[in-house]
Amino acid sequence: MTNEQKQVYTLRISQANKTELVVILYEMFLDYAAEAKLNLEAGERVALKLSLNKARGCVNELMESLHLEYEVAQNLLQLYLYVYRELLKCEMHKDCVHIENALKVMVPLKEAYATISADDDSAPVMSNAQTVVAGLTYGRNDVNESMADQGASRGFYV
Amino acid sequence: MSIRVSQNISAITAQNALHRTDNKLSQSLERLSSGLKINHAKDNPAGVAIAKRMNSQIKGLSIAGDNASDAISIVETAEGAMSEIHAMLQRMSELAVNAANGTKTDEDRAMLDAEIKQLKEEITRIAKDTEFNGRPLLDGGFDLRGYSSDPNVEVMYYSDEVAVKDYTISGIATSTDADGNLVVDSLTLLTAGDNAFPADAQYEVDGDVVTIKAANDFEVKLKVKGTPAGEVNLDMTGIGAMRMQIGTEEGQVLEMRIPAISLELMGIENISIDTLEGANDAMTRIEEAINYVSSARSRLGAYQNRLESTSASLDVTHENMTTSYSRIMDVDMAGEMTEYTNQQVLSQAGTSMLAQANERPQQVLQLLQ
Repeated sequence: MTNEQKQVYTLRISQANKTELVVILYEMFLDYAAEAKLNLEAGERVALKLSLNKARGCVNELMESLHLEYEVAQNLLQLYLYVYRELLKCEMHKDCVHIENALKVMVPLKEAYATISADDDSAPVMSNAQTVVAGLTYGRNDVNESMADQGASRGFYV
Repeated sequence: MSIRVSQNISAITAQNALHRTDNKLSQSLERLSSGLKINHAKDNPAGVAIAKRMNSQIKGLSIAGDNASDAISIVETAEGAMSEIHAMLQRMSELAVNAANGTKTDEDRAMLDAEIKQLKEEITRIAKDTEFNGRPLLDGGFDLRGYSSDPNVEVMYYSDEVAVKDYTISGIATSTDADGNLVVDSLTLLTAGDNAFPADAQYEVDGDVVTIKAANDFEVKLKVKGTPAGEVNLDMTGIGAMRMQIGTEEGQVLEMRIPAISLELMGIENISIDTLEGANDAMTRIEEAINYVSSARSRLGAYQNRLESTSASLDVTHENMTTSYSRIMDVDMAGEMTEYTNQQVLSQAGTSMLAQANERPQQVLQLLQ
């Protein structure tokens, strides 16, 4: 994952609510899986191991997010365990087909959660994060840009 | 972005502000990109996002005190590796049986032996590479530890039934064989007193590896690297297994032993089937190795069952839950289940949001590092 991608993710995580974090985890998984595939094709063993580790880490975290008293969660758990095993197999056999099997499961699930996350309007999980507003803001008196101290210091000092 | 200036002072103010903003922007970027909230002493930790980096969780496996699902992942990882190794051992067995056939010539055997060599390397590689969260799983780091008072003697393995105490070996006699390797000739075990072995303890020697066995599955395996000066004291600590807190009360723990896997431990380090003798010897050793891995796997299977039922009781109050982890084994089943679950998620959005929700942003951030 490039630094730029990490930056984007970090920003999104700081603004995300509990369902958006799930979507982010799915997307991170898909990124790492794509990376793993590239590494596999290039024959980069060490890099492959790292990206598979990260991908498995994402699946692990998704498993931790499940609340098993709901039936949906139980089904998801079975699927995640399958994906987890497929990634292990990929590491052992160095075969792309396992990554593809994992993707066949995770891509539709990500789409589903991305769709329903639009309905979740709860507050972000991280408190005291910077409020990020995209776009220009207007000054009090006119439409010209007014750049004042944006509030990085809120009176707290170390 | 243009700034209309009506007075000079405004211009200067604006320009200064622009500079400050630029600086702030690059600071933010710096913080965001490194994931570190505190890059410099002048940064203001209270004012920025509360996401603490839990460094200790990356090093070492501190699964301390939480989810059985992490433990399940560990067991799955170890099990996955062991099943690969098991398959390789079975292949080795086939090759050895083939080589032991009287109709084969030594040249045939040499070719079969080439594959054995390869399989041995693969097994070693898998054992080394299998890790969870950056920590190797199959190197004995999560198995019970035993220490010896003499550096010439190393404790390789001991079974659960070995009591947690000290054991003394009064003496070890060694010699060197034709190839210059150390061979153990005899051992004198202490059989009376506090540090005694069980009265019926017998030992077997295999080159430089000694196995001491007694009734009730008492087993201790030692590697002798040199001739010890006097008596050797073994401290079987009974600790070292991975401890999972699986309940809310103290003492509700599951201790998981993940045995080390290596060619040495399994006794197949030196097998070679390029001669008939070698092939016969290899067959017996490979069978023992298969037993070793099988028993390790069944131990892991028992942990899995225990964890699954624990998880079930921790998380589920649902009456209709029967076996929660029926395993999806192949890609077709996975495809169907994915389709079904997909529909479920979309049609029951509210429940799905409750069923899967992540409130651990610091863990998610961790995965970016």
